[in-house]
Amino acid sequence: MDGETIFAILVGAALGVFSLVMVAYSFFRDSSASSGQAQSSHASVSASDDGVGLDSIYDSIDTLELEYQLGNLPEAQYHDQLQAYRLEAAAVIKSQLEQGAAPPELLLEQEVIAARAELRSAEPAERTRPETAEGWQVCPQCDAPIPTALGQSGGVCPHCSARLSESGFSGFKDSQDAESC
Amino acid sequence: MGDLGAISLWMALALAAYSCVGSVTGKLRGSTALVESAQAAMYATVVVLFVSTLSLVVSFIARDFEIAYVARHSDLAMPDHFTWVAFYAGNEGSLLYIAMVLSVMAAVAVWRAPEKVRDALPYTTGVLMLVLTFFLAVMAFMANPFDKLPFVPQDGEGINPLLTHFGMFFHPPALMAGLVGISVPFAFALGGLLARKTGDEWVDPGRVWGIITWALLASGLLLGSWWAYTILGWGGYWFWDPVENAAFMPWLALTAFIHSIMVQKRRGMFRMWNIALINVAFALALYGMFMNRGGSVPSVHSFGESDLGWIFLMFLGVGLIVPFIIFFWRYPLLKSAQNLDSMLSREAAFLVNNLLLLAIAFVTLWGTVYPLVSELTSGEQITVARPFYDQVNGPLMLGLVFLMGVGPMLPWRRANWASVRRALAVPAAVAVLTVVLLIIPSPPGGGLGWGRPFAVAGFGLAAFVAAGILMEWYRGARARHRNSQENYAVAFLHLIWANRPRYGGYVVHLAVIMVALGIVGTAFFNTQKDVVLSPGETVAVENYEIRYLGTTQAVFGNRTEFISSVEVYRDGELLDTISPNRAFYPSFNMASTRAAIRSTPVEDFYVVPSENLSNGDAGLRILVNPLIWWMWVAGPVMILGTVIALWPEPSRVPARALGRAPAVASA
Repeated sequence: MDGETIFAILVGAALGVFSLVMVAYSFFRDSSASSGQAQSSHASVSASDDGVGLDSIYDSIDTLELEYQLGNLPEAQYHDQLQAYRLEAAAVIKSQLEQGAAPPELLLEQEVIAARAELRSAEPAERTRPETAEGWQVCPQCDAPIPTALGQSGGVCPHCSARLSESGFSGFKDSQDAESC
Repeated sequence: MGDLGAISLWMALALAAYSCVGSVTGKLRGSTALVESAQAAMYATVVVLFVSTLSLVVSFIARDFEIAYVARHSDLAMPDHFTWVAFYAGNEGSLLYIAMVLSVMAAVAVWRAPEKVRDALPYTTGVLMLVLTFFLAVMAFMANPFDKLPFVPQDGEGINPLLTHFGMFFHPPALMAGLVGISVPFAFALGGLLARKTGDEWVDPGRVWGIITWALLASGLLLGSWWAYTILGWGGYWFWDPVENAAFMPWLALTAFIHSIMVQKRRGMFRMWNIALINVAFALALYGMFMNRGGSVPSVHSFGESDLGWIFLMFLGVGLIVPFIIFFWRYPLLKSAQNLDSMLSREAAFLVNNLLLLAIAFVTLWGTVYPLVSELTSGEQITVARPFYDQVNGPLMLGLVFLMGVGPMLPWRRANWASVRRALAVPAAVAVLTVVLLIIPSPPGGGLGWGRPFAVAGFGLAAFVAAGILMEWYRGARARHRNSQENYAVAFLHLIWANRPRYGGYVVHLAVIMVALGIVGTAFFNTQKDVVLSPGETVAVENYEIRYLGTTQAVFGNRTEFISSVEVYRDGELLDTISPNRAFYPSFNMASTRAAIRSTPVEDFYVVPSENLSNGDAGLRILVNPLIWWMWVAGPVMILGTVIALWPEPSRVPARALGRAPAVASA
């Protein structure tokens, strides 16, 4: 045997061992860890299945916005389609929440909303407004500090998207007013 | 190194076969360990095949002529940098290259696969590894690049002279990678079907890999055209050769696919159509490989000595029939989530675009197989030539360019005539203006008149599409400028960055328009003259005049070169001195030419020697090819567009869906 053949056999054997280790590794791993991993992987698959639809809807809303800004869409059609996409998104999110398969951000948000609602119903009369610094006010929906100017211009809360009246202190609003709090 | 290459090749075959069987069996039996083991085997295949590839490269560098493949495709005179070309110059090496590329693509595709396709991934892996196993088995049993000769020759036969060209470093690898790369989106689609994941889960990886393979094929086709233009010596770039067609058809099917997959991504529509399209693209890619390796229609591109045609034909049969059986098996699950709202919408435009692209693909397929059909039916082989393709495909391509201008201007879901009129008014006006300027004889005697309606229509439609794209860019930049007070340049760059898939697509469309300009310019307005000149003699072609100065002879190890010197004048002014050459390779009994080209955006002045006579006279072919420069520049532009379109987008904040839309949107 010449040197080249010996080299070939040695490297070939090393490749063989490497391949065997790669192939056999998963069989010798801790089986419980493997099974747990598989389950968590399955759960995340389920959670993301509906997310496909949501991503597409977000993309569509973005595209719609762009088309509108480019002047390719009249205003009425833009609003109609935006409304349709929002309804689609709401349906997908509702379905995700019902299945408990929503993304963690949404689940957390739902918990916060539920906790706030509980707090409000428990002590509606005792609730007082926090003191505000000059030039600032608090959001009637989420109590986050916001510039007074924003409230005076009738904008929305940057934290929870609740609509603000001109005074900014119009009392608590119906939940329909908070678009995505 | 040949022994190591052979050992690793067999090892790769074993690993790929195990991975194919293991992943499918593991999925069916619910064995996570088996699925993971099969996946690990797929990753190991990359390493093992890399060793095999490296062994062949080292054998070439060492000029190990004991290996038959090395002896056949290199010699001692071959410069080292052509090792890369020699590697895939023949059947065996090109199969190894294909296997290497497929293993890398498969590993990256599976590794980077999104979570939502995890359920189907074992089947996807199985399909990819089945294709890889086929290539490895063909190599191992029928075309082993490490087969040894019974004796060691003193020198090799050398590399084919036609391959010693810069374009050969990229053209064959890009085409082969593109053809085999179609397996990846195909495997995602088929994996989804087998796993009953028949929704939109596979759309994202399918789209990304569809675009990657589309860009590879497009680059390969363009580089091949450039290679033919500069080296084959006939002055053209596309011959409708069967093997050219075989690469062109899957590209057409993929072009249809990467448009219609967007409809599925956005609207949940065209689910059946997309799977059918990727099946067709895969089958056409297999047909391309079959044509290249012993297909029944002869071609200058094919591996002439190949006897692998029948095995590739069998694989083509399997690759065509089995996916469609699975498709019909899962047919009831493939209902689209939405219906077409209106024929006046972007998705409808994409549908028509798909039909036109497939029509062109099938016209090309018919022209390619017609010699066989005619031989079977009448006993006489009738070859279909360029006029057939020009007459049938030409109008279809014009329709396609028209849709390229209209489609992006239409919104998704539904448009109304008023908004369409408003969006198309400026591009249409630019198109009409272009046509009028081309037709009217100004200056007197100029203008194209009515004699070339297809050329005028081609230029008009190119202007229509380009104006539409530029107008859209301007409107977008203006909207950003108004909303965020950015200057126009910054606003334009941010616009592209915020809407990468859309604006990357526009850049690619511009590249296609540049290609169209080159095609129309050369197809309708080129001039050709064949002359024999004595030293010092001059000849006029169009506005040019050339003076042939003479030919010098240079002898190299493997060839004798005849280098002609030609002065190029216009309006009496010397523009350039160019040197076309012709080389004779005794060991191949073959002559190879290198055209001398003076290239400008307006036109190419092209001279290629067709003959060098013993008395010093030279036969020269002289061409003036208008606008062809744009075709070659289109390549980098297209790649730029593809990179922009594929650049990953940041993840989203889910709450936005129900909240207010952003001030400056991204699409």
